[in-house]
Amino acid sequence: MTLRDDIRAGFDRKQATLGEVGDARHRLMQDALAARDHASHRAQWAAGIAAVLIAAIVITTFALIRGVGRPHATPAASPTATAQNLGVSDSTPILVIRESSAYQKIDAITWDGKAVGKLPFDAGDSISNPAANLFASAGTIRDRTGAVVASGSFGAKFFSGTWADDEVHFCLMTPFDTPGAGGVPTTLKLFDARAGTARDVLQIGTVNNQSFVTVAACSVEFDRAVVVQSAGQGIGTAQYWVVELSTGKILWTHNFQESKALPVQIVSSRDGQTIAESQGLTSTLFGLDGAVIGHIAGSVQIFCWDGSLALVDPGTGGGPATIVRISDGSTVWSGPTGSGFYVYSYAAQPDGASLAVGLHNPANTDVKGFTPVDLYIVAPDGHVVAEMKDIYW
Amino acid sequence: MSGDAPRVAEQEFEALVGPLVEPGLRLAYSMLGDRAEAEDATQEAITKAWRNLGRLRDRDQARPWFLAIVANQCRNMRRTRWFRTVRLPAFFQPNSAATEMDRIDIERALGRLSMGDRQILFMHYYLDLPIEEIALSLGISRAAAKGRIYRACHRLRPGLLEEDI
Repeated sequence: MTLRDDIRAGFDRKQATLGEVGDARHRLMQDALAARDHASHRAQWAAGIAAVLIAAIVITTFALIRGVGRPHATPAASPTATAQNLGVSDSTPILVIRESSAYQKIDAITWDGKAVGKLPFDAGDSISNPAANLFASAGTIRDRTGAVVASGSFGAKFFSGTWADDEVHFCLMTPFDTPGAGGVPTTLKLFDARAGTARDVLQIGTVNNQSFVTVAACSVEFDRAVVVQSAGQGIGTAQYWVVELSTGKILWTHNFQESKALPVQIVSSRDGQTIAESQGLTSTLFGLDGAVIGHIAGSVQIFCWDGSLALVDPGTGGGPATIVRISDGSTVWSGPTGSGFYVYSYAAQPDGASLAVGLHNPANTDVKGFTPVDLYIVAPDGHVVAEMKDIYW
Repeated sequence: MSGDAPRVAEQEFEALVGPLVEPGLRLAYSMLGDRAEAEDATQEAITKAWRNLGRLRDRDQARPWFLAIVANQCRNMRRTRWFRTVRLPAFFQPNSAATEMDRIDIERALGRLSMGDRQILFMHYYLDLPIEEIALSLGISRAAAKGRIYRACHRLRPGLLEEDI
């Protein structure tokens, strides 16, 4: 079977579930043309309604800025500045790297490694969404111009949320800063950074002095989140849950509380469809329904956007970091060999399959506590698209 | 304008767009995965096509023009109704028996693609649209369309060679 046959067969099966469409042409055409007249009348009303809505939004914005509803996100006034120094559209994903001479200054590169300018604001303690067009800190969310898009309480000191794959929403466990010996139940909330709204998904997990709850994946596109309850002292995992964002339903869970084995680290693909449980120097992969789909030697650090590749750290002395294809376990890229090289930072290209890997290089020197890395942007075929030495990322 | 003019215009519009409703609905379904959403998107696209008919300079390009409207409407619906459209249709669930690491079935792989990738693969492999029409529909060059098909295929099957496509 050729690829064309495969794809066509896939679409054929999908289209078979559409059912009878024979009546669709006439019915949809008639309904559309009938709606056309209503639409034109609606257009006249729309201008008036829009004016009222704009006034309401302005009033609401002022009310929210006054601090109503924390920790809900608070939308700010529309940004007016422009990222004049940035030479790409707002929707073009970028990576932000820091200048070795001025840590707070941020340079931007696209995923093909081209320098495209600077961000015109200090984003030193921010966590960006996957495309890096929103930057969140504990109290504010800014766009690329530096304008505040929303404000609220999103973490005790740093942003504690996990950005969703739609670039707009983020998941946050609350409360995040009220530990106590007895523990406090936590609630998974889904925030809309642009709209300044939030809703509860479900109450799950407990935060206390010894344990906290984080979100390993927040996928609006696939309606999933992966919530991780840490083990004692925050080391390893006590339990994690895969939940449906829209309903709060728990789809499946793994509980390690009775396990005496090594600490387990959880890494999820951005859509929550593939999860790696790394224990020691072995990772077990779980698929959509929680069933084992394979094993990988080494500790999985991140999956690429579509889940087809994983960045694997072999552990101390175990050889170079590698990028492994999930479908067949083959290695598509290996980092430099030698002691002192280890995975320090990483990111997955939004809507692509490239991975950015920041490797600690013993030849680089820490400056004021900041660790520089060698950055590799690796295409899904293993080709290194860009390589940057001794940068902060 | 005579009293029959609107009816004649409707008939002309229906003759032009009517044959495109089913492919438009199928495209919307491939992108949204839900029949009700797909019908909403297609109906709204027909209304928009009616309003913007004057912008269609070449009637021979009605198909890519209309499919572009459908695709844009799907994307808009996805943005505004995310919580209704994000659920994976049963079709895109993996076969529960497929637990082998080396087996990623085509349905799951298609389901994991972005909406844009599914759109271009659907146009190319299911609707069998010529590259020129796909390029017109996406508002990109012919070479760019071929490149996007290749990249979408590559995301579907990372090990592919160009000659396989």
